[in-house]
Amino acid sequence: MAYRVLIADDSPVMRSFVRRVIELSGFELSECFEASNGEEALEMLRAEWVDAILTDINMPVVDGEELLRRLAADDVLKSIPAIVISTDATRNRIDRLMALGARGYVTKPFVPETLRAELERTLGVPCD
Amino acid sequence: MTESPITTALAESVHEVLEKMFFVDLMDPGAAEERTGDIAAEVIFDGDPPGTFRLDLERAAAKSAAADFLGEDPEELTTEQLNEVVCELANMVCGSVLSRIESSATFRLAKPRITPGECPPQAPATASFQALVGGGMLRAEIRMERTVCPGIDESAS
Repeated sequence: MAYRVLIADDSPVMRSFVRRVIELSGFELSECFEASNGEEALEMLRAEWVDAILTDINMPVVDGEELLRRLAADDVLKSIPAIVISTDATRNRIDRLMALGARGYVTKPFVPETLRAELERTLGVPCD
Repeated sequence: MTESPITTALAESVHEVLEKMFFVDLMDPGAAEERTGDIAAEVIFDGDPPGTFRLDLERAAAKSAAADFLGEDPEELTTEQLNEVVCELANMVCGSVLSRIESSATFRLAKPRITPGECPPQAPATASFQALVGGGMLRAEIRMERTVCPGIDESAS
């Protein structure tokens, strides 16, 4: 099965990198959507269904924390797993974001295998 | 001379970020003198303590890193792409360093910005690190606004 993923990050080069890493990792990707902030991500989600969301935290307009809150508050969108990708590896931040509804967390820097493993874990993809 | 814990954290962070995200190996610059880069990015951070992080790269280093990050031909990269990648590199290294030395605290990074021209003299860096990347020099330095207690939590990384 191939999956549809949304990448939310205000850095175009980071969105490009994450997309490339997902492809390099061998993860079964059918569609990859991009948003430059949480508001764009929510607008996109109203038009397209995705299987997983990869989100940065520090974004303008609607940041990653607020995106997680709004996803959790939406009866339809709350079922889509969101994985945070962040430079912050402190316990405080990770716990806070998981409490807001994040289903996974990937700390930068990461290798492709780490991102793939976190995607597959949150999606319940059987191990090879 | 024993390297300070912050210098160690800085060196480890640069190595880890470049190897994992940029797929490049660093080389020891040896006894090369400190050089001002062609592209520099600065990150201001709040934390305990707050401070600033700066990353300077010579153009050759920036092009090499950006090409590897984006999977593009280094000669095809635009200035905008180089700047964005240097900013992202600064963001990641800064975050990695702070996670190592402030593992139980909360910190917040401002958006990285390209600093125009040569940086005016500032207070001495708390820690600095220099390496060769793709034939060009990379220099990272961090300035904390007050002394960080030694005894970094090794389990944070």
